[in-house]
Amino acid sequence: MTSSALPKKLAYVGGYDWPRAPTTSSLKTNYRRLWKKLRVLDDPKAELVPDDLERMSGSLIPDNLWSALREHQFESLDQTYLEWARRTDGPVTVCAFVMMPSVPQGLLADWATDRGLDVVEGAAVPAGQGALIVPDLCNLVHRNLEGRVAMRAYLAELDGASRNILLGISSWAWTYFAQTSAIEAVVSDARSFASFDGDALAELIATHLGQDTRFKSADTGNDVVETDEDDALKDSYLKTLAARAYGCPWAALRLFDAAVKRQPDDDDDADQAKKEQGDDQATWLQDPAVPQLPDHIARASHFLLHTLLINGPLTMAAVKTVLPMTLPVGLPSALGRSGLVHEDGGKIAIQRDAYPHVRRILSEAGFPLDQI
Amino acid sequence: MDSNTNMQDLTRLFNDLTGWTVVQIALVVVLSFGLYQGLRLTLPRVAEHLPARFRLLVLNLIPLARLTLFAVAVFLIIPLVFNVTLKNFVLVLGGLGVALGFAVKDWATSAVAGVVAIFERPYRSGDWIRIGEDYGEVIDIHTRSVKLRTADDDVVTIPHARIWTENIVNSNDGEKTLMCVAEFMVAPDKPTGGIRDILTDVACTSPYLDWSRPVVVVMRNEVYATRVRLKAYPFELRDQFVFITDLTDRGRDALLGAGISIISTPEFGMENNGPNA
Repeated sequence: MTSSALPKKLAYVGGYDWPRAPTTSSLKTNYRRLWKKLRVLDDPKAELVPDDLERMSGSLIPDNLWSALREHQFESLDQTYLEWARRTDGPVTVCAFVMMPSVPQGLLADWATDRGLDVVEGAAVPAGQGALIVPDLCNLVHRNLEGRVAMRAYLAELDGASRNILLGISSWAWTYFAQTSAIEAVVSDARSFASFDGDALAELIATHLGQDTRFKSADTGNDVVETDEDDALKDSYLKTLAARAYGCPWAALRLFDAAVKRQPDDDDDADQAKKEQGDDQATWLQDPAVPQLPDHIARASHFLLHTLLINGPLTMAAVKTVLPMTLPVGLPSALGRSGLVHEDGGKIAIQRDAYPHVRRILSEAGFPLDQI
Repeated sequence: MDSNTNMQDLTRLFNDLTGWTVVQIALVVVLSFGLYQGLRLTLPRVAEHLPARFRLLVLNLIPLARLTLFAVAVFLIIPLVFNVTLKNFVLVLGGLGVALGFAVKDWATSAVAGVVAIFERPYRSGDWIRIGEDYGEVIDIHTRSVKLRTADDDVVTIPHARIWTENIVNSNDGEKTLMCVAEFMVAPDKPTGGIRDILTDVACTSPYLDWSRPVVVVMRNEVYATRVRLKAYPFELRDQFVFITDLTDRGRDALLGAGISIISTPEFGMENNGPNA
């Protein structure tokens, strides 16, 4: 590829380009999902892939891919914020940087620390030079009556601040606050990472993974990064993957990693010779099923997942203060077994790998979704 | 002579009714009925797994399918039984009119109202409506009647003919949400500063809230109290009662916590009422 397909600039909130899967792919997926819910259809058996494929035990994504992605996104942040953040004169503005929950935790704080900017975890706005970076607003205010009062007080403080401020906030908390508070009156500019489409994902994968390995879609049998003479992807797998990950590259790569299947290693010479022929060297991509919630806890699970997305990681005691309902005993454990949440330091949090599944589950249940 | 003429007319009106014709008619009836019952059983099951916006859409296919299947069945059966000419058409229509007018007038009125209801749509499957004193979710629309499931899980069957004479109150009118109101009666002689902010916060922190809709607090002085109405929308129709409960429960606590007196009926007009007075 001559020019990079990776997005370079941040996207304005409200103008995020949600990747769309090809229509046939969406229809097929939704049909399967509905029929599976009705217990009519089992997991589809791919006819193109060998029978003895196994999921890989470790991750296929090399560290240098994660590093390259991180560096690329840091450069996007630099382009928009670095000069503004180092400025000590001019008008004072409050900006928001909105992130999907699938973005690695602490990314904004890491960028700010790396660039030598002031980072503050608390709700105070200390005096100083240059911009102040608040890595995660969710840590400061929750969706309860006390949180609403705290939010008003904090917005008043931001409004009277004497230095530029960059608020890091999750896309769910941003949507909630934008709809129910005056945050948009205080924040003059809100942006997020631009979405990665199929071409951008193909570039990442081809650069860091595709030199030795051919990735083939289990649905079509085609190489997923192969392009035609117009540099367009021949197969729709990566376009669909970008849509399933809502344009977040970290989520897309994790889904990609989870879909990888290979034939088990075999030392037999004859098999080795077979492997040296084209198709047998391919690594297959077969998406695992979206986790299903047991019917009797589904509704309560939806509310808990929604709450965790808005408020960030919470202890069970804190969940009770933001979710005025009695949850079934053992619900976090059940969700943990489904791979949707995990416990970290006594707090329950959405499993980042599972974020696309969680958003999809909530979307199907009709819950209000994040809008960026 | 007259009876012979009448007999000939009738012979020409009807086709020869052979065994095969009867089998064909039976097949059309059985297939239409079977297909309708299949859709009636399948579509609600599918709809239950869909978000509200799609659920209502799928549920509304049922009355439309019934009407279509009925029309198709009639269209197929009539040429099998009748000798279709203009004269016969007028004759049959006249006979049918007399029969409907006398024998099944009420049924016909409701059936016609049912057809009107499908197109005019005063209610659709999945809507929450009030007819007279009955309020509930439309769970089925039959040829003659509409079935509601009330909040107490009673199923009420109401003939469509009521649309000719009564107002139909439709709370959501095909939308995926509806306005819910939680009412509070507060003491009129005490300060109520901040009451709007408090109740707005209560609504905005409810997990059932549809964020994209406005939250409004309306206050009105009445004889013994100030009536405060908190209006908001849940994102799911079926959460309306639990949403109102949540607003009422936490709203009352928040008002009491802020020192605002809530009036209860026996204490109307009395001083020092309410636990925080």
